[in-house]
Amino acid sequence: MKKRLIHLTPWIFTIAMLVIISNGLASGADLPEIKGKGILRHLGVPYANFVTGSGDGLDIELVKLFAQHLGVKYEYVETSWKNLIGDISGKKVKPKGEDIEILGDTPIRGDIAANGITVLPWREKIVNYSIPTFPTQVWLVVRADSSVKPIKPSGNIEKDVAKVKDLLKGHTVLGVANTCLDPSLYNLEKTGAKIKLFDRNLNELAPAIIKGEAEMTLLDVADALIALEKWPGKIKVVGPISPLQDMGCAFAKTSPQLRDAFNRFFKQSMKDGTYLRLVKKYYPLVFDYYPEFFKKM
Amino acid sequence: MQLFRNLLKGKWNLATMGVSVVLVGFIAFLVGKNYLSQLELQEFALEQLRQDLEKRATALSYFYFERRNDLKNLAESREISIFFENKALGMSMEYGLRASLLTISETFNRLLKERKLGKDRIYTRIIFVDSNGELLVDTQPISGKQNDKQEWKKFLSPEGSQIIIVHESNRNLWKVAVSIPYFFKNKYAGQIITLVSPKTVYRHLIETEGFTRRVILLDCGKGYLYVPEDLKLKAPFSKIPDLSNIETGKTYRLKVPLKNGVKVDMVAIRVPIKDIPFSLVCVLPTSEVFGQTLPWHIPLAMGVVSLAILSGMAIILRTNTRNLILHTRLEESSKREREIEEKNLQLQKEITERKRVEEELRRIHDELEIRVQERTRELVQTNEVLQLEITERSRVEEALKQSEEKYRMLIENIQDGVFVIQDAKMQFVNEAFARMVGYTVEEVIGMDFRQLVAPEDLEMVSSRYVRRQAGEYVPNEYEFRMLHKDSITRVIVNMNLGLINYHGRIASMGTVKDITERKRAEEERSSLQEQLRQSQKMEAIGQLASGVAHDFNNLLTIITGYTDLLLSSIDPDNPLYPDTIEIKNAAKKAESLTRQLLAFSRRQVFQPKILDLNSFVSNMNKILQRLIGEHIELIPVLSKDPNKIKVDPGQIEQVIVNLVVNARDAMPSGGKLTIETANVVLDENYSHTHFDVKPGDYVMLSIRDSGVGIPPENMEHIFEPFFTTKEKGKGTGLGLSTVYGIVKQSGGGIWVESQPDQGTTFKIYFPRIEGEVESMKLEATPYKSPKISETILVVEDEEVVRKVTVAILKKEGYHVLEAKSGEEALRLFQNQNPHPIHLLLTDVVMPGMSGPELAISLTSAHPEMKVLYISGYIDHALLNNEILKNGRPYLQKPFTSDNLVHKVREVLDGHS
Repeated sequence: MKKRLIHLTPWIFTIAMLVIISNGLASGADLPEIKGKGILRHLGVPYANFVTGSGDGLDIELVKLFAQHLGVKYEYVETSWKNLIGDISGKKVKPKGEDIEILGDTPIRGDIAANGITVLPWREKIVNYSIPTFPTQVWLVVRADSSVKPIKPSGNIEKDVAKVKDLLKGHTVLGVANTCLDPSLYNLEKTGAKIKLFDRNLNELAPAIIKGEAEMTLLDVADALIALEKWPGKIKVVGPISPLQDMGCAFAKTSPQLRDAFNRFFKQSMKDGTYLRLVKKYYPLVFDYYPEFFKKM
Repeated sequence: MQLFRNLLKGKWNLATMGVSVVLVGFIAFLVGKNYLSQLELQEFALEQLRQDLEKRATALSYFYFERRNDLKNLAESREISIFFENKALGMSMEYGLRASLLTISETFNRLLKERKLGKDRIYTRIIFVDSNGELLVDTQPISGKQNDKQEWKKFLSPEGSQIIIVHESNRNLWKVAVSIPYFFKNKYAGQIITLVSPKTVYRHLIETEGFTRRVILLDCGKGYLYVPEDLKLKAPFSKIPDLSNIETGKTYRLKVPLKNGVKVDMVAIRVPIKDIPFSLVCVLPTSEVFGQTLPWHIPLAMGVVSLAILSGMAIILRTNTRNLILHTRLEESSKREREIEEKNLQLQKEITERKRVEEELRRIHDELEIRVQERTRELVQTNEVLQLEITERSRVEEALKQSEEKYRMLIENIQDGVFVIQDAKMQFVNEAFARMVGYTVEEVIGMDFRQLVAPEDLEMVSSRYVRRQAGEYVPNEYEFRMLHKDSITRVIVNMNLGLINYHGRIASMGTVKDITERKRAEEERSSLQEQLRQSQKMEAIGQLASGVAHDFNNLLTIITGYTDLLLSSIDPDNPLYPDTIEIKNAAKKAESLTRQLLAFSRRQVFQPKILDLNSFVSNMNKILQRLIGEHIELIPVLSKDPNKIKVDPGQIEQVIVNLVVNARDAMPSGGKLTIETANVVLDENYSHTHFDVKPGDYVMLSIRDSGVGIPPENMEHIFEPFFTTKEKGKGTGLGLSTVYGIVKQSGGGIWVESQPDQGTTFKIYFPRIEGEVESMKLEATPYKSPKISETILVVEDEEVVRKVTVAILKKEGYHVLEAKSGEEALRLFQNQNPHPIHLLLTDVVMPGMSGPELAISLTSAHPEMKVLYISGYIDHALLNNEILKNGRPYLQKPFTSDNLVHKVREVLDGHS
């Protein structure tokens, strides 16, 4: 009997795994299912002050409030930038410019992804975004002792971006694949810059250039403002690499009701000032950089 | 008398005149003194006013000192220097630099909120401008003129001036600005300007309390005198008089018109404020300082009133003197009458009292007589009662003494410990208790009972003591561990007898019984029962495994036999040839598994030899080192004395290899493997705690690793067949079960000790024997072709096995007879006679007559006939009695055709 069990064990395990995986692959949980289960899984990557990694952050508090609003329990599921889109959509994808190539299926690990996720065209092919929750832009940041000097703003972002790109030739620039800091999104390879893809946490980009791992890095505004605060005099902002962008929360394409519920909740939070209070808590400086974005709110 | 009276009258008048003159003089002195006092009081009031103003000036000075500190702190703040550092790096406001300004703004706003007087904010605004007057940070950004560069330029003070006063008369707005220049890398880089609310400062530090017509003005210099608008309206005068010329330290008197047009006298003084170019000026009506009365008014009034009082006094004195003389005479006469009356009354009272005393004395005498008689009677009775009581008490004392003696003897001789605890201290213990804890009774008395409790039970025992003292229910009987003086823990049963009154206070009394030995015996019994259960379980699994292995061996014999026949009949180029080889390989693997199962169930052929375990292990060192690899250090610790044991060498080699492989797998990152041998004596005590160990001399083989250890939950199962924690494909789960079976079959015992992450030690005990070590060399027997004339009788109850055996032998050229049982073989043998049968090839276990029985029967008649046994396993009885003891050749199923043919040839040629 024992021998038979030993022989059967691999089959039982395989069948169980297949059942689990096939359930996971079925679809992302939509609103009725989440309410039925009584739990909302928040996928997050520790990044800037959106998900600090210490148990708080702008998006942590926002999604907790959303779970409270739905009357379900909140559960944080940590992931990585590499797996973020796969974990929310259930598909392994490879970005190709603004398009994607689907490589296969992967288990869905969360219901809502929120950690300062920039709205990018390739991501929109595989996930649904909420209404914009945060403004952003990608800046070029260099070590303070770099010979590259910050540009003088012309008043026109496109011209400023072109000026910055002109400075890149021959310099090593850090970027992170599959994120808003992916150099391929901004055609940096054509500028003559030496692209170096960074495989660690985004929060470590600024320390990396300070340590001399590269001379320059791409940083989004939220992270750049924190870096300027943390390492004053060690880095300098040269100028913009991208036009203004939006950040939002991401949902599986199969969870439209959940996305709509979030949008309604978010509008209400903006209306009653809850969201602005959270932004003021985690990004007090952002109001002065993007007054128009918050004026709309 | 008349003369005397006239004389008295003349002297009285003279005295009266004299006294009057003295009084008048004294009054004049008082009036003069009073006038001078009035002047001093006025001076004192002015001084107090000045001091009050100086206090306010000191408060203001301190206030502005604090503001200067605020500005210095701001100028030294990291936030401002970061802005200039980033600016120096060339960063633009649009891309990053503004963030630094926002940080400065946050710092300013924080200061704005923090600095308060009462509930009012001190600063109304904080501004930071660059060296050109360009506004960088403003806590109150207002568009238009307010942010004009010119607006701020006047504050720029690269030379270091710190305080600037600004008065905007056109809007009637007062501003007091405190500013400080900011230098970055020793170069003037900008100015921090704070605007202080003068109204707040005035309200909290200058304004006077209570009803007063006093007005204090803050003189900011250049003719700017500040007083809040609402106070200006309350001021008594219609217009603030010109006070700019008033000098410090002087008192000025002015005529100022009031709101009703009447001019009044006013006093004004000025007090400077230390360290800042401001001063305080105080103006108030003279009457509020000095009062309405002039200094000479009071002395004059005092003189008139004094004279009037003097005259009145003279008249009253005269009248009163006459009345007094008359009254004195009347008093004297009345007094004499009262004295006579009092004396009469006293005499009468004394006579009455004497009579009463005599009467009382008589009565007391009579009563005393009666009481003496009664008392005498009572004394006689009391003496009798006392005599009885003394007798009774002597009897009770004797009984008590006997009782105490009895209880003391009981307590002292009782085997249980008796104790009394009061306030956590041992108040009483008997000898038995003292023995249990290893102290003397005297040492225990006074000890805290917690010193005697083992640390692991201290919390439980203390808690129960406290709860019992508090009147809560706690079990009276429970076990705990007590700490002996020599630090050995003893197990104690505590029987608490409850709370008692001991020397007038509550105490806890109880008995304790030492059950250490009983517990130890219980644990040993439990351990033995567990070992017995484990042994029975292994025996049952062994029986099951051996049954399965037997059947498998028959099947494998068929598979192997027919596969060999098939292989010999087909060409190697035939496509079926490789498939058949695969079948043969699979059968070989299955054979290996069944062999291990047989080893576990102690059913494999046991061919013991006397060997020296030291030499045996030493010879294996090289093999073992190759097995474990270089990352593990092999440490042999071999006994110097010979360790002779009787075991099957092949099996012992398998035991060591299996244990060493397991140890290697437990140390993936390297470690130490110690193999130790020793002669040991396992005594009665050891056998009491270890099931199926007989006391005697043993040789110990210990294999110890420093690996991951075995989790406690797996310990019970490690010897079970197919139990493995290794990855699939890395282990069959038969290694340790094989070891177990071999050790048991060798008459030994195996014990394992392991701690997670501390390593594992297997200890095997083989019975030590005396004797010569036997050689272990094997000689290969050359194979010879069969002689055509040779006949073999194959006896096997399994038809298919029999058929394949017969087929192999026939293929080799032997003349083969077959029988399915012993009985049939006997019949066949008789029919075959007189043709000789050269070899009997028989299964050992068969229904009816067994193989050995058949062999005995046939060989008794034909001793020249050779016998070869075949079997899937060997029953213990057969193994011991017939085959091995008599050195009969034996072939283990399953066998290949080559094995069979070789073995048959060996036997026929007489090599086995």
